[in-house]
Amino acid sequence: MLLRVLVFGLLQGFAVLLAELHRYLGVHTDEAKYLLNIPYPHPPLMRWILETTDGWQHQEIFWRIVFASLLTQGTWFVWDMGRKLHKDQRVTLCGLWLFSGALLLQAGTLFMPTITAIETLFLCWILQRIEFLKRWSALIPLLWLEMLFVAYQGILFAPLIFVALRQSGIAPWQRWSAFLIPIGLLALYTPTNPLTIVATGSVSGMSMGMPLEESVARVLKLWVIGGSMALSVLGLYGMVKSKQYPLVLTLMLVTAYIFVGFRSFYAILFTPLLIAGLLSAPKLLKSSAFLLALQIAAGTAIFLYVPFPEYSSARSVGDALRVAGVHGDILIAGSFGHEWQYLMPGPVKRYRPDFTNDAAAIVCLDRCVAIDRQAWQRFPQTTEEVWVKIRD
Amino acid sequence: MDNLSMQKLLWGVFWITSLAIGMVVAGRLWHMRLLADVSVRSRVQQSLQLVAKREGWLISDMSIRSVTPDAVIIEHRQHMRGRDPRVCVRIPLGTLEILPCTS
Repeated sequence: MLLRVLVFGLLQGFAVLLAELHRYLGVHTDEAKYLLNIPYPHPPLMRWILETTDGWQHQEIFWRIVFASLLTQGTWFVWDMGRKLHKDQRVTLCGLWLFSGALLLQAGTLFMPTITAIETLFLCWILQRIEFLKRWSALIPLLWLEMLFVAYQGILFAPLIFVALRQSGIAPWQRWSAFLIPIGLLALYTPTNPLTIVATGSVSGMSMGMPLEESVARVLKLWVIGGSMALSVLGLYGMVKSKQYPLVLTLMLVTAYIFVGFRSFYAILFTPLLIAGLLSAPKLLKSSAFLLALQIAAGTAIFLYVPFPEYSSARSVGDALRVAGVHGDILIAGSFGHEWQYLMPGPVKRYRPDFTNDAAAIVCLDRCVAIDRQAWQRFPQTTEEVWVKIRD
Repeated sequence: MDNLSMQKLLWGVFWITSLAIGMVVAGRLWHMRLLADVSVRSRVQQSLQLVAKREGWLISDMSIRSVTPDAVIIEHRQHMRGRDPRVCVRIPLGTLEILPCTS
């Protein structure tokens, strides 16, 4: 028991460290979108949950710790999935999860694939616990509904859901309704949010026109990050060798999805599938000490050498304006991400010279024309060109 | 509570949640049914882009509530930390004025 408490504490400490790292790095435009419940691109469930804490001063770090904890504490599922293995092999399996490049890079970020990944890990775990699955068959339709209304990429895991429903021993009509109704509801929801369609189109359009070899290289890079190479290779080999077709099909769907709409934070979608793939051919875990050492080295190298996304100066500008007591509309010139909405002390509008009468500050990410220097003064000590209204 | 009752309860939660989502979404879809027409859709899109540019609004702050043959009703919500300023406005597609929803 004491050992379990100690491991729990260590995993939690690891989660807090990674969450703090990402808080230090900054807020990504997609993270701000979820924290503020800006209605695209994903369905509303998780962003609505995040938004309920919008008034909290420490909202951002709270959710970073929660998301990171879900991933690190997911190790308990991995531990249980390997219950038929030798203890050394179980520890190695947990090490493969914890030191996958995707977990190291993404624990502490607030992207939806993190949630999808932990849901997938739970699904892979429950598929190994048939007795539990039969006793709690109703969890699968609820999980399916939740997965789809958290993020569109949940649909990629339909083969695993279908297998889980089949193995749960419920009547065929119940199985088909539980499988199809959540998909139908998502299909019904999508046209009610036209922004989603536009955003999804623009993301998939990003890969259009890119040379084939470059698109393939990007997918391969995420597959390597997803398992820190050792798990990437063994997980894939394991699922193919043991003919785990639902896993292989799901992996193919994830690969196709990333191929069409690449985002660096999709790497985590591979990780639970690779763990399940490796477990389906446990003989591959024979040299477990070597494998664990290799994974730790590769994971650390990925963490150190794969660059984090670039963040804007929104936090420093926002903090400076807050310290200066600026309240009211903030006008921003040039293109900007949603993190500016999240971090500014007031509502954000696009800059136009005729809006300046009602504004409190102007941030010039692009050239600002016609600023009246009688009414506005340049704000010192910020990386961007910022103007605040001169008080009477 | 035994396992069977718990199972029944969870299945009940699934059916009721699905029904509730279906009803809410169907209601929203009904109010936006005119968007199924390509010409209306493109007219609404152009109108919202023009209004957003004129007002300095962000497109992502505008949520369509309903569409009629001559106007679109949107909620403009300035997303920020804490309470978001929200206003419901009616935009006639001919004049692109901003009118309160109650007008």
